Amino acid sequence: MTTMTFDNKCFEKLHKTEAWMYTNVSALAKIDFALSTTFVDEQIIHGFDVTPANSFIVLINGVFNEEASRLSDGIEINAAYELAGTIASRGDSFIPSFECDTVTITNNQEKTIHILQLVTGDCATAASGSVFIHAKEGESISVAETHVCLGDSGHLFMPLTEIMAEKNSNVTLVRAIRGSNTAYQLGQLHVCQLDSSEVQTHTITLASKVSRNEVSAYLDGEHIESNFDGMYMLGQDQQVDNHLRIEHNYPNCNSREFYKGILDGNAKSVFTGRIYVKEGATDTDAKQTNQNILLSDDANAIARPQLEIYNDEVACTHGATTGEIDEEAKLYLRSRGIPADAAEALLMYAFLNESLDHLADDGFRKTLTDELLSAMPGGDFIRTL
Amino acid sequence: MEEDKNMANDTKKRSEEIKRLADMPDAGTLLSSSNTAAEDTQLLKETFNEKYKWGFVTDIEADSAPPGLDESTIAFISAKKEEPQWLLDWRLKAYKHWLTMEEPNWPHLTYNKPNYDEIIFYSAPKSLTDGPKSLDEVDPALLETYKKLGIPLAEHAALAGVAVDAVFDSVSVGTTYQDKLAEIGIIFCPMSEAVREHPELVKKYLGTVVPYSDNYYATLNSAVFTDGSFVYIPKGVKCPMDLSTYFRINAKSSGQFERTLIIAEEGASVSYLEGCTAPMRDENQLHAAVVELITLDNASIKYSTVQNWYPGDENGVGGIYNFVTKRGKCQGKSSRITWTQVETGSAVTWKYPSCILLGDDSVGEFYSVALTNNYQQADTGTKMIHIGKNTRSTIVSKGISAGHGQNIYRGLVKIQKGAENARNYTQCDSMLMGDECGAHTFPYIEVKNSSAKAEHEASTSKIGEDQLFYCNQRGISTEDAINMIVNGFCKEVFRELPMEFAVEARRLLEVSLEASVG
Repeated sequence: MTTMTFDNKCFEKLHKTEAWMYTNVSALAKIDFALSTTFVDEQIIHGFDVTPANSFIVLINGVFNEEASRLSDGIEINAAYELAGTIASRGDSFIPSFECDTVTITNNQEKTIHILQLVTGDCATAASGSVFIHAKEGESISVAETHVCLGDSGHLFMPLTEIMAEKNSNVTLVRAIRGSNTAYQLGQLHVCQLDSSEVQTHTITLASKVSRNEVSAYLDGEHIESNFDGMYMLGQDQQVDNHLRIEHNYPNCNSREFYKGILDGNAKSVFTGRIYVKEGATDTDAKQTNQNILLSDDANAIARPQLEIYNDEVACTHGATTGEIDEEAKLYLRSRGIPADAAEALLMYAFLNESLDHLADDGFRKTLTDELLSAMPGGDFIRTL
Repeated sequence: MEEDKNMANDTKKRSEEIKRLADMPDAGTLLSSSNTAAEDTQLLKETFNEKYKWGFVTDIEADSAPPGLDESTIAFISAKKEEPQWLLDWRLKAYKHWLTMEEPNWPHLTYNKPNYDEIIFYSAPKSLTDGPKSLDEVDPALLETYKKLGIPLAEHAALAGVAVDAVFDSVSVGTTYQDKLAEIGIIFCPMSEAVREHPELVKKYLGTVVPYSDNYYATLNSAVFTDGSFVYIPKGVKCPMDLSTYFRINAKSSGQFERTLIIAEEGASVSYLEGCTAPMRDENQLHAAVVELITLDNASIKYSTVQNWYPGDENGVGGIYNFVTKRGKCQGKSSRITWTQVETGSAVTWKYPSCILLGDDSVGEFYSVALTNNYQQADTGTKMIHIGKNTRSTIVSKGISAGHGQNIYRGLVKIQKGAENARNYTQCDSMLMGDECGAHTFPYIEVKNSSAKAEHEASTSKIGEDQLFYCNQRGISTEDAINMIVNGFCKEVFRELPMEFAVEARRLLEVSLEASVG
């Protein structure tokens, strides 16, 4: 595992770089973060434990909590694992990483493994947490991570997840950002895929003040399928920055990036999706899409769907749309006796729920849908249906 | 000598061709029809050489500033131009600001940064220091150069119906049609003359679109700009002819720092043409121009560029650095600015012609063809800043990469909070030839208004084997077939070009692509 000492001065001029130009986190350089671990009430942890039959791993401020966790075969804590850190080191992320416990998952026992990462403290606390998922040849692993900052002290959480998907393997990862709306969540996800592997990741941002979700994927084999989804519902003083880079290094791979969200108040969304196609990576099929609905004139949606192509045998498309709720669809609903605000709520729910719909794990999906409905204007009405 | 003779012949052919096309009833149809494209291809083909054919140096003793840049260089330039104090102060302010800036690193380009201590910031052909009163007084050697370039100056000007303000290095040598234009109140003159004759206009508008502190290269230009064109179209006047400037970098190691300012008053309209060639050299030359356009209520400016500066040889040695800031401000209601560019030259291009859509209902358009062959790199695109209500913008960008060329589209669409019902349509298509080149698309879309709509479409393609096979079967050689397909790919942009430019643009693409496909 690579560890570095945490120096928050690195945030000072980050927004002057091209990669961070729309996300200013210079305020972090001025905060004296605590680096400590504290006790978390059992009831709080219990509230996030939605599928008691599955394995459950709890990290508090980056430290493994054995009491609250249920481990199973193929889950190890701080195992000396050669591969850990090797995928992350291929990227050039500016997010610092520092001492924390590492969860290594090599076998999922056919059930989704839940990881709960909590950050808590009386004052602003910085924490990191590391997860390494390794699907060996022909295996399938499904992991659901929940990242929660508790309280309104303005914590900083910098989780790091790595996925190694070997030949013919399949990995599904859901990451949900919940909890406090004053926290900074700067997360990294690094994916390496070999021949004929499949990886799906879903990044769902429902909380935090500033959330930066970096995804780097290296498609190091042929006939790979990669799907990177994202969804966000943000209100006043919230910002999300989804930053992706998909590297097609070999022929015949497909990748999809599909990010959508609704912005209310003065919320801001940044999407940067870079598809990189190497020389010789012929017959690449890559798509990226970012869709935003603005509910207010103070909301701000920024999209950078980028293509970097060094090869003439490719089919790459990118698209970005930003707009308001479809007036025609609203009229359709209203002409059938549904009140205007309810029609709006329905349309918003339909727009966002598409991302949650195909989450495999029932318990987890239900929790997220619940959370979405509480964050969404008109959510209570949807519940009554 | 033999080569020169060929050049002259080519020039003649070209003039005849332009004349022929000008006589045709509908030039637009002509240029977009594929039959004529094939004919033209045939006709123009004879003129192609594998090497850059306009690589020659006119031997004129230059009256130059010493290499390097400091305050005395700026004072020298200002004194040479007999400028008023306010302009010198403005230049010095820019220079001081420039010293605090860093050369941008964000473009997707790799090149050796220019050494500003080695650049000669001012050079003027010596025989011109007294200032010619008419074409007869112009150094015949200079006129010969233009002839080689095929510039329709002197009698050619009348034939082609184009008024030319030809810029040779840093001093404008001849301006035709000035009197005719003056009759209807249009001012079309070199920038240095405008500073002397119309200081109130220059003072009012200079730096209002591209401020002296805008970016590294624009700030440098503000400090050391030497010449360029000034155009003023008064209220209600439609400029009866296309205005044209040919730029030409000539003296060794002289960077060219042009400054062009075009103002269209209420209800006025003008079409402006800019075309460039440069002699062959082995060292990189810097070109950092600034172009500012201003349109008031109901005014329109159409600015077209064909750029074919020396791109460096097949190994990427030499070539021009083209770091240009071009920006237009639609200040008035219902005004329109159209940028059309065909970029085939330069080793490195860094250029984003932009529109600030300030007036309600104003329109910004950007049509671009950028071609990179061998080791050329182009990071080019546009910015459309929507501020006024109901503003509309269209972006059509065609990038073609061959050899080891790297072609980057980088475009910003920004819709501000108050830009209700703003609309943007962006289409960027890339074509790759071969597997060692690159085509990249970096759009930036920032939307702050919920009633606005921004659409973005992009595609990446190549010339299909089946397309070539189809053409070959019908007796069309592979090279002609490629030219036809590339012309078709760029059609949407070419049809926005003034007619004679469209001819030149097609020709340039063919020259530039020569020997790139086997």
